[in-house]
Amino acid sequence: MIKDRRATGTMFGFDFQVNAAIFLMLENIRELQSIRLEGEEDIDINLEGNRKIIAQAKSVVRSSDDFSNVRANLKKALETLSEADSKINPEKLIYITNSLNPFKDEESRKIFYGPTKRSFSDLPVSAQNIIKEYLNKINTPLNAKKLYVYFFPFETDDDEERYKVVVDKIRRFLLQLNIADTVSEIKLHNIWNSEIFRSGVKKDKSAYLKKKNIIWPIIVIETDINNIKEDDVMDGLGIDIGIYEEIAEIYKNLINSSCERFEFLTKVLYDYNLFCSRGKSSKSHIKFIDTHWEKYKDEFSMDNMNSELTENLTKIIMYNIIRRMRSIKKIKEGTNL
Amino acid sequence: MMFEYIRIKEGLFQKKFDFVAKTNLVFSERNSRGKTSLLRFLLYSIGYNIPSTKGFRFDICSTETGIRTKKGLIVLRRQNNDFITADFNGVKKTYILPDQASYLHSIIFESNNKNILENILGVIYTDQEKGWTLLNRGTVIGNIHFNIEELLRGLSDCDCDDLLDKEKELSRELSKCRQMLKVAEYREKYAAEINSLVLDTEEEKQAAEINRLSLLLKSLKEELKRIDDNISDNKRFKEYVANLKILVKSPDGSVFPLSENDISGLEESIDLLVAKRKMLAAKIKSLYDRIAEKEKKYVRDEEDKTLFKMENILETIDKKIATLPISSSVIKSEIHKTEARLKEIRQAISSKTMSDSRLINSLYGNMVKYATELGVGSNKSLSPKYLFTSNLKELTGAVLHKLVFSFRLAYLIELEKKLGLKLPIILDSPSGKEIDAENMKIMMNILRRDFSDNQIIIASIYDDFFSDFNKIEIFNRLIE
Repeated sequence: MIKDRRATGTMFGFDFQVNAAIFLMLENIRELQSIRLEGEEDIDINLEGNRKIIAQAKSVVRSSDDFSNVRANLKKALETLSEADSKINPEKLIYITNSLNPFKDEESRKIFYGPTKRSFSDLPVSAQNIIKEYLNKINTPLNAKKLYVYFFPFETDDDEERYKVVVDKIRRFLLQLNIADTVSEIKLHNIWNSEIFRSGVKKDKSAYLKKKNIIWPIIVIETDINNIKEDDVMDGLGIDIGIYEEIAEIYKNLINSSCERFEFLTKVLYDYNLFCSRGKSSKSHIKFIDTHWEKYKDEFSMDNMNSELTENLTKIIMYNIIRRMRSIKKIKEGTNL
Repeated sequence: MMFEYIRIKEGLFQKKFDFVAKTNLVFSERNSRGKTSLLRFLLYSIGYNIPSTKGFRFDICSTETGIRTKKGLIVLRRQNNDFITADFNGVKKTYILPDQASYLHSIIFESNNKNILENILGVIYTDQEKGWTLLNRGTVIGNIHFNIEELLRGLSDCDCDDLLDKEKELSRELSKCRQMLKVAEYREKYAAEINSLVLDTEEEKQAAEINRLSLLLKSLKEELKRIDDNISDNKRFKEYVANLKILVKSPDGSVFPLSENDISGLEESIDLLVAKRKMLAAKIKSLYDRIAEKEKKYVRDEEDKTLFKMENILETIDKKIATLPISSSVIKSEIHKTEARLKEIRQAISSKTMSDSRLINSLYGNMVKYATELGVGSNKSLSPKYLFTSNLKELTGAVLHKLVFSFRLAYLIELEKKLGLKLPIILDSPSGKEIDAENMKIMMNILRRDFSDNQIIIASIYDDFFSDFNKIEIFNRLIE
């Protein structure tokens, strides 16, 4: 997790910016091409077909009861978004915040309690008026039809509480991809939050984070050899889960290497492809492993290895190669990578 | 093979000694005149690493020895410990000692078998000091040893090198385990004394944590290397395919060039590895930072402690041993396992060694024959197993002496059968300390009767047991 999480304004603001970016990215994942974080507030999203989304992330540390700055935040954000609108002409302009009362307005505050997305026209009239008032004071004001106001709770020093919304959004994303039982949303949030979105920003503030750099870590986690479904292993391969784990531990370098070296894995996939061309079912990979493992066993048998171990090891490697290929396909398709 | 002469030069002095084909007696009335030295010189002069006798430095003498083999006379010249020259049929060859001694000996004794060459000396030469207690295993002289199992393997052309290597390896492991057991037992004793095996000082916890993290770091770095290697492999494969410049026929009949991007799954396998590598590198960096932080803290704490000099070095060692994760019961079981494997290997070696039963029976037969003649055993009291006995403690001086004689002759008979030539018998003080005149007569009788074709060289202060011999008398000093 974040090492130095004192709730100072800057650190907190930055943290919110990163999580807001994750939030928005997940919303647009299929069409996303790249995303960039600038300063402490700007989020630029590039979609397919040269379309853009520009967002301003404004946060308050004590978002449930400190509304002293929310109007100023809003004003500044509208100014920045207007500038962006005239320069870049994005498809959407988003003001995203964690304040429970972003307009400091009793009327509109009622709608901000869970994750909220409101287009300008869906906002309560009092909120619309506040926005219009600020826009009138701007030279080239943004097109209000493009404006959206987003809110989600983001508060306290406790990780679980602070990130609960974003982590939940990630979980739903994983469910959609059908990998929620092998990829932990907390682990993925951790990787996105601590590494991907920060390292990209730290090095070069104007560098765009490409979609592949966001999605591939998911594939890495999903295809880890220790990350398997018990049923697949026991019913499919006929190997006891304890034995699988033991073999995976002792021979992890060999198994990983076999699944990583293209020169070898392509042989298995080629044969598998051939096998499937004759008719595919959901259990094809199991049947394939059962009928073809002996073909590859000599690659892995070593002195003093008994035949049962050789068989299990070979099957485990084949299983992981095929599983890897299928996971890659599934996740790439699911995120349109 | 026999010795014809030896010329020994010491500084300005030199002397030549001639030998006959039959019995030679190196005689002096008094002790310590140089008889043993002469015998040892004979062996030194043909390339063996023989230690000098007291008061006589072999390596500053030079020797010239003529030995007669089936092929003719070989003249060997040696001036120091480092090399020896052999003149044979007009051809002169130099051998570096001790490395090439076996090449020279393989020519002299006409055999290339390592086991035979290493054990010949133990058969033909009996040293005054150690020789008469060397029954079947031990030191012949200096660092030259004799071993009956090796000799048997040589005589039966048996190759146990793999098993022998394994045996050595296991013995080493066993000895290591035994050392570790000592440490483990000490640790347990110490722990019992301080009543606790739990690391309860802060610094020990810190050190243990740093160790744990360092091990983790090591394994992550190994993983990183593996990933890097596989990335390179895959990229190389990509290049290779591109360079093949292949045109592919597609199902619709059109032809297109096979580019590296057309290989299904190749780009993805590289992408996956690159992503994995990035994640791993981040993990490693964060681990480095954690370790560095902990080490800084640990060093600071250590520095604070030395200010107080609370522990002396023994206490420190004891504490460190207490932190070692070794348990004597685990090591004991490992020792048992290794001992069992070692036993297996040794049994395998033994059965291979003894596989030639004809050879063993013949060896036994001759040994018993001479032992019976000398009155130290019979085929009832001695079984073939006795050839391999290690129990020498129960044998008294005279009995052992006579048994050694019997064994030695039995070895000689088999060795000569194998080599197809006669060997000299070199005995230093066969009367020893314990042998009475009667037994001496019997021993000499045996030699005269059964080994009349062998050259015999004996050193003794007695000359009344011999008839018809070449007497080499040494009066005051060997070289005068």
